[in-house]
Amino acid sequence: MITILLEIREVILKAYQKVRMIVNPVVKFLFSLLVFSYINQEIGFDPRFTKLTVVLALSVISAITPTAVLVLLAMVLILLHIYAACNFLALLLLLVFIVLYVALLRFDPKHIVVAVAIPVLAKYNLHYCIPILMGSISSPISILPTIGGVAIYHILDIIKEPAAREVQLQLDEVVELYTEICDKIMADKQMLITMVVFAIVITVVWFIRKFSFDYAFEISIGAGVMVNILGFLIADLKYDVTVAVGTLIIMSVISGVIAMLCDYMKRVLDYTAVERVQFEDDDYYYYVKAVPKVNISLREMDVKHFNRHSIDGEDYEYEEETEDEDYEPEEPFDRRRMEEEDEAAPEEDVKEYKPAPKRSPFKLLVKRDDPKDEVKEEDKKEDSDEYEEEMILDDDFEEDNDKK
Amino acid sequence: MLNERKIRLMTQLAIYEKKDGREDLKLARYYKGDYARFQAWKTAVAITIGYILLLAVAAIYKLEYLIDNAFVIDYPALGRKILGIYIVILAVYFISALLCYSLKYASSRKRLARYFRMLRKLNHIYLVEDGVVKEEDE
Repeated sequence: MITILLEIREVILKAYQKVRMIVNPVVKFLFSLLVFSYINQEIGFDPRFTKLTVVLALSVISAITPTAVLVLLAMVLILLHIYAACNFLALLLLLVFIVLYVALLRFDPKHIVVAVAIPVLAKYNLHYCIPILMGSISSPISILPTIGGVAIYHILDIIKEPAAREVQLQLDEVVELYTEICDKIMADKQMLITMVVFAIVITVVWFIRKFSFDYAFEISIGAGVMVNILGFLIADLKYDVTVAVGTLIIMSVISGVIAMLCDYMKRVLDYTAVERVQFEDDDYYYYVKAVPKVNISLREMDVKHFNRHSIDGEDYEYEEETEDEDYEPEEPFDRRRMEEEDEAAPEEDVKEYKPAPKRSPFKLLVKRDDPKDEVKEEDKKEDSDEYEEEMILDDDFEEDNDKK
Repeated sequence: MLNERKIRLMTQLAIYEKKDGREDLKLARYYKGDYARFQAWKTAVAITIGYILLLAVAAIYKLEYLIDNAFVIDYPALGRKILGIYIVILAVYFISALLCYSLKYASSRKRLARYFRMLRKLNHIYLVEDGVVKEEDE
């Protein structure tokens, strides 16, 4: 099973390496299209911005620019739609967005996209996958953009109905409308509970993932799903918040699977990043395309030796197991030789042979934040040693180190 | 003649400079304490602006109450409450920012150490090419 997965992984890697330059912008374009379509569908008060050409143009811009631009364009589009419905409300929403940015979103610009991903996915009840994914690929700092996304989703959900109802009001009516919206936001327990549960899920997933025991990553995802379900169930019982239990459980599990797949793909695809760099020395200009080596995983054969003697003190008995039924050993089975070998090391009752992981020459630069990677753990140890050495040998660093 | 080892090193250096190096080299201009404090103060300014805007939003929300009770509101008590909440929020953000940016700085120094090690190797290759040192001196 593992061999098949590895072979699938290899095929994906090779295919992705060839089409990476096209796939990344296309995926971003599709996601942007989803975000802008969602906004137009929910609060499309200004027909000028609901046109397909506008949506496509915004999506193309988002596809070729950093993700922060997508978030900015989404915010601007929301404000323009609200402005078309009620200009004073748009001004207040702008203040809310600025507060959200300075208090929550600016601290994790790398994952700012979750602020718009949560509202879009919440429509399909798949937003549960975001905190699980954030916990597995990021740190607890990603709690801030995540709860920012929850806030945006609930504010949009609340604002769309009153904004659609009232158009170009007098000032006193606007204040009344605004008060009504604020009352609804303040009374929205669901928003607060979602924020708290998501924050706990991120922390739990991140915390468990940090451990080095076997299957820590899979256990952390499972724990995230469990905490998510339990958190909302407790909220349902204690705070009188309506939660569709069946949907919650099913979508949480699906979200866990999606988060696991996304995380796996992220690790795999980051690892295969082809780099194009330019530099020069005294003699040449270099235009280098650096292609990381892809591990070639052939079907491996696991041989296990079971020694009954070391377990229950009876006569020696050996079994040889192979995954491949057609496998035939090159040498005939020699029981005496095996007994002698086994006596030399009687404490080892089970031996399992696995191929050593291969190292990519660019692994150190391309993918550094994988705590599960044994090779990288070694690198971290090397880092700490080299760090001291570097401080001494580099003049600037030495001076810097002394002052500290 | 092309020196493969040198190209490999230069490629790794260029990849680093293109990715993490851009941010790390900016951070390298500061001392750890200076960088963390600078970022924490930036956070404090941002939080202050955010808090003022939030107060404005809250004031409009409670506008009717404020106008109706303009003469009976205990302004000193209200001011103390607003200031107290502000100090608590500011302290939480300031301390968190100090911690987070210190950790970020520490991780960037580790990457920079590796970068300088590669630079030193590259420098050694140049010295060998120029005949200043022998290859086995490394």
